[in-house]
Amino acid sequence: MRSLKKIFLAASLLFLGACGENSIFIPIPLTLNPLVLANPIAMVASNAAQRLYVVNSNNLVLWEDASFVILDISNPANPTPLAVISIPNFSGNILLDEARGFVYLPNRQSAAEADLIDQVLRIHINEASPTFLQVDFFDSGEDPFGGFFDGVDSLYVTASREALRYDVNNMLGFSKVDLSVTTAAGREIFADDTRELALSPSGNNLFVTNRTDNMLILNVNEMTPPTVAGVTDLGTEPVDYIVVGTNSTRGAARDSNFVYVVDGAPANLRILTDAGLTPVSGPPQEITTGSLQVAAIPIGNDPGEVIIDEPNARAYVSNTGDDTVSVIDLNLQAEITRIAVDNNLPVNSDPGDQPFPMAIANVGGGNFLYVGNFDSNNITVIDADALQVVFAFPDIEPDDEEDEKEDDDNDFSGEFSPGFTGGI
Amino acid sequence: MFRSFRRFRIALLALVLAAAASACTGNNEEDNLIFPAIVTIDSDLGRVFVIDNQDNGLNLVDANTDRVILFGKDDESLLNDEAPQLLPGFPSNGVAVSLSGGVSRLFVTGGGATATNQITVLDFDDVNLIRAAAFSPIAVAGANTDALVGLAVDAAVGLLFVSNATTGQVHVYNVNTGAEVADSPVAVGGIPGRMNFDPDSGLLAVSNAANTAVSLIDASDLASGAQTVDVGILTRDAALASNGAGTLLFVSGSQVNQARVFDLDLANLAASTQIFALNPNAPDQPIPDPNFVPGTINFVKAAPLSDGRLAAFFTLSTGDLLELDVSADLATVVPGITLVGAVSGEGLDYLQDANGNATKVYYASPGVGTLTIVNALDNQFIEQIP
Repeated sequence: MRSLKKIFLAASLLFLGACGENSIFIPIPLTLNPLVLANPIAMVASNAAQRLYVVNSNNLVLWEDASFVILDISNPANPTPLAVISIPNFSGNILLDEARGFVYLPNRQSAAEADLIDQVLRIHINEASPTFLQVDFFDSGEDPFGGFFDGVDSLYVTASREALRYDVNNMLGFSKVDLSVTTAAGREIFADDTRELALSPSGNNLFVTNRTDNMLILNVNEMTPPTVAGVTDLGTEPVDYIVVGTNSTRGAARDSNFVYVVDGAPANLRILTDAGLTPVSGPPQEITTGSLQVAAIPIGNDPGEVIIDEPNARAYVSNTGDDTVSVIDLNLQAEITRIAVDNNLPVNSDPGDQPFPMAIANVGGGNFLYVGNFDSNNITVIDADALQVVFAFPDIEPDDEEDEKEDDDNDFSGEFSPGFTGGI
Repeated sequence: MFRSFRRFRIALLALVLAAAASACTGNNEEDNLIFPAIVTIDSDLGRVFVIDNQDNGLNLVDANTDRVILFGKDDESLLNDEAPQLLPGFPSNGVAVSLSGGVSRLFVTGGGATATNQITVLDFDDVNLIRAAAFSPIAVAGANTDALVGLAVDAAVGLLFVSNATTGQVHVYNVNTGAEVADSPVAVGGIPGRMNFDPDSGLLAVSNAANTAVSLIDASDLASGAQTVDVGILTRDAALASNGAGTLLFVSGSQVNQARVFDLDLANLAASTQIFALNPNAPDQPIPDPNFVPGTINFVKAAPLSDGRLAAFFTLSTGDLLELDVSADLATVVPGITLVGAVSGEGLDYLQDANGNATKVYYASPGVGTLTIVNALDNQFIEQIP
């Protein structure tokens, strides 16, 4: 039945495009009880504030608009919704700037091929501020999805064929690097589907994942921050390396030692270092994974996101096609277990389908992993110390639940995949 | 109604596939290896066991013919996702030992819905096929989230070794009874990982992800505890091989992409010397060059060869096999790579002859679902099983 729903949704989407307006859909309910999720695509937790921030992308156009949800996780096993607001459809990542009281969301509301400007949303999350939940809009490149905030003042964003750098103190302008490069060996890189990025621990290199071609590495020192409003075009010079052997890279993260990149073909988590990289002048140089990689860890089917819990030496990867989460020990650099979100669940915990975004929180001395399920529109709560699912919320419709239990083919090729721009 | 529609679609698809299969009359190759990640060989009985890292997949390959042996009226793998769940949900390591009566016993660790501090024990023979041993699983002392990473056997004495990365201990069990033996566990500290047993020296080499010491445990004297060799890097795997000229320790790095070789002074381990190191290719170096390592060095097995040399075999993340061949006098190390490009390379094991010399190396590639076979003596590619 779920497949038929998607066919219906796809047809609706086509119809929507034909109509040129989206009034046939109703607005997403902004209720706290019941809480309504719509293709959750990004999450982040604040230990200090004991909050979980959830971005609903509405990628499958279940509603007219998307939403942003704040949950209280002071009882981490059973989060309580606190606030929900409407935001434009089709956001990608969420970047937390606790010091300034903002989260940043790359957003690609516009699906029009001719529209080359999308936006970055800035949402005020300081609950004591009169501007709490205010949403600010800033110009971006075309179809931005991934983001990385350096914790100081630089926000990096990936867009189609572009990488952007903002100074979060003044987001009216951004620097732009052209990722449509030709390597020193004469090979053109297809950069339409760049996905996410991570700044290396050295601070010198920006790893940009690419769903349909090789990953790119940018020299951050040449990717200067903007000094004026509007677009500062940096051309292709900051692109230093193309990583041969990476075929479908997706999520990216880092800790104080390495960059972690999810590769879908074959499915593995690549642990990378830029220790041997030197700046390149002129066209980017092709290098292999052997020059960067310290480990490649096999994971589950159609992996999506990676999140690092450095204090506990763990990485978690959402295996979207398997409905599992891989648990990686960062000391061993090995997968130590997988946790299913669709079976072996506690009583009254609905199954999850297509786990994608994750957030880790340490509350009251306990570690909890929150997993957003893109297709079943719920969140699975995992006790990361016991490595067990403890809860899932909100309740999903009984017929959907039945579908999730039956859905054992673990194959959504041809369906809408989280982050794909093709279906939007 | 929708569910019926889905079943109809599946049935229709099955019909189409069956028709296509019948049209391909010249192709008898079955694709049995789905997510192969672990290889363990019972050389005495010529059985190569290939364990998938999910979906209860287990295949048996005949070491004489290098063909997958199929079972049942539908010619299926030894275990698969439709068979009773005998393996851990997500196997991470496995080792086989030959018992009397034509029985191969498999010890498998892994994660999933069950506790991770246990070892699944399976028995296989040609008559009864596969089943859980009477004492399976072996519960290893510790918490139910402990990570059991390394597995090795001393086939001659009948000992099973398992490293608990969480507690920093190596536990030792009797392979026949599953009982923990006297003087077990042996403390090694840090985060012990993969390990290998060398029947010639009687030593177990234990890698460590938390410090640069590789632990050596004398299987005949557990009470003496572990001795260590400082290899200068954190390690992912460690293996020993011996001949008349001495004993070599081969390690693969963790956190760094390196392989190192040490000539051990067993009377004074502190006097052991590094005789070779292989570093990854420099980023700006044109490729390939003779010593080019195209991916990450993963796991290692080491063994003597029939011509007196010693050899170590390392799987690479690119699905190629790295070999370090050491001359019989241990004076020269010659690196080589069998370029296969199987996309990924994980678990490996070698088939040995009656004298314990490696003859063929088998390694698993979960990315493309293949088992690659390489001649241990000349490092030539033999074949690949889909």
